[in-house]
Amino acid sequence: MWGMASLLLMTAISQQAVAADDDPFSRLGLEAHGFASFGYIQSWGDAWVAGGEGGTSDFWEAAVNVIARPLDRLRLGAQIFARDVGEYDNGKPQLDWAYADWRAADSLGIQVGRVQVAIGLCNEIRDIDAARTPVFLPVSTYSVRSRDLYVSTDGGKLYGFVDLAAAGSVEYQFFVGKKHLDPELGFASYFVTTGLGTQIDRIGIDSSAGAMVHWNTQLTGLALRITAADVRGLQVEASTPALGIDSTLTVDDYRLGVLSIQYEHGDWTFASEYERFNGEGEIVVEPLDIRRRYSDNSDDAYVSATWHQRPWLEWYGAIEGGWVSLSNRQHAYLYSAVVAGHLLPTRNWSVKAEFRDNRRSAAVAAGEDQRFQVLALKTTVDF
Amino acid sequence: MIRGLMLLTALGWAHLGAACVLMHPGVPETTIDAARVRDILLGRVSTWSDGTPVTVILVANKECDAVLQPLTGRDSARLLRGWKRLAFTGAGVMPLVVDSVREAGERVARHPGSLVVVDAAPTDLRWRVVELR
Repeated sequence: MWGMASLLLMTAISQQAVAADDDPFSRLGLEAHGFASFGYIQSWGDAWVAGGEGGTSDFWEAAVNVIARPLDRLRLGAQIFARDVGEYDNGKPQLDWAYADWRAADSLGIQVGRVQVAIGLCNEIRDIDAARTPVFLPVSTYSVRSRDLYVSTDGGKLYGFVDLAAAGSVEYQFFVGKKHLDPELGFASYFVTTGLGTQIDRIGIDSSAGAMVHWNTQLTGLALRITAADVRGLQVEASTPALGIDSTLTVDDYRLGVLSIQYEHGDWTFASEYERFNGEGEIVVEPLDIRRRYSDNSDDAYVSATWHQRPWLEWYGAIEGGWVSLSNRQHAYLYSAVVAGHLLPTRNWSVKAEFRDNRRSAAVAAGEDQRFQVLALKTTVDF
Repeated sequence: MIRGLMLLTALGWAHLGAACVLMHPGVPETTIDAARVRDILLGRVSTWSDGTPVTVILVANKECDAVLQPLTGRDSARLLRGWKRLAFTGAGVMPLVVDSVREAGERVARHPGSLVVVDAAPTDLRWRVVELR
């Protein structure tokens, strides 16, 4: 796949080298963008992502990307991204995406390389502060720790836009690929917190595939989206050197489905999503030869409203819920009420504040407070 | 038609009472409807029929926001934030943002494949004016 992307790049550049009789950089249509965010998280009653009750300024992210359009239908691009969110990622740079994109027509585009994937309404804007009002996306649906698992895949995607005339329009995306996850990034870090081991030695998946269909309905502003994804062959190798123990977790299939609805009317945007997440596997502990079942299941939903009061001021409110099983909602749950404000002093500078009041069942609290609060402050500049 | 164009040229500005689109004269589409413009401004469509990339230009003033709002449901600030989503996911390139219609016209003349929605169109042979009804 990388070979194909490189071939496209070489072909494009060599053709341009022949054709260009003026500035070669302008002929390539180069464009660069980037952003940097800094913030502060204060929590009461729970460590949450901060890694300890109290406050942390370990909360920043930055990215820079370059996009080139050497031919009319061809686009090449890459982005480097780094973040530090409390206990996750610690500023380690990563290649966020790098692709060659051929847009044959509105109805069909193909992208190969490390491509971003659409899961739900917001997976593609996990890191794009400017594209949303709150500091955090609904955390049950768009887990902070799982960013590196879902944000992109090494493979390809087909996508397009189809005008249905009186019936509105449809956008779609199909993706397939695989990914070697970084043992030091968020998704791997999560398995340390579950007690799989004190360090993660290797983590990867065999393949991931999914589809998204987004219908812009004939009712102006109303859109519906359905997403399904399957991550196959997750394997996590962990160890606890102090005890001489190695653990291996295998999950054949992580299945994910999301139903989304969004309605824009005047200065308001309303959104709601329901997600079902299911993973079943096994943990083997050596040399003790202990085997136990592993389950990672959840149902998550939220309802949100955003008021675009002024071009430079927005307000956001949401109710979020997460359950291990919808059929047994009283046993294990987490509910959050969220309010946020978003101030945009300039086109390229934003300041945000968000307050989350959370209530969870005893089964989820695991001895900690059942009610906890989080305040997050964040400022972002982009170019 | 010709009389109309002569009139517009004579006036210098076309106050057409509706949203106007200024397009680079090299754009293959000679006409464009409101639905197509909306899909372009919302980032759903990114190329013209001959494959030329669309370059969106936004005029950040109240008059142009007043014609963008009924067309897309968003003002220029919200449209720009939507485009940041596209730029930072690798799905598109950022629109050019200007402060006046005159400046927008100059940009349209310079950028093949460009388009801007305005409230009143200065007439000039360097761009094509299409009224949206």
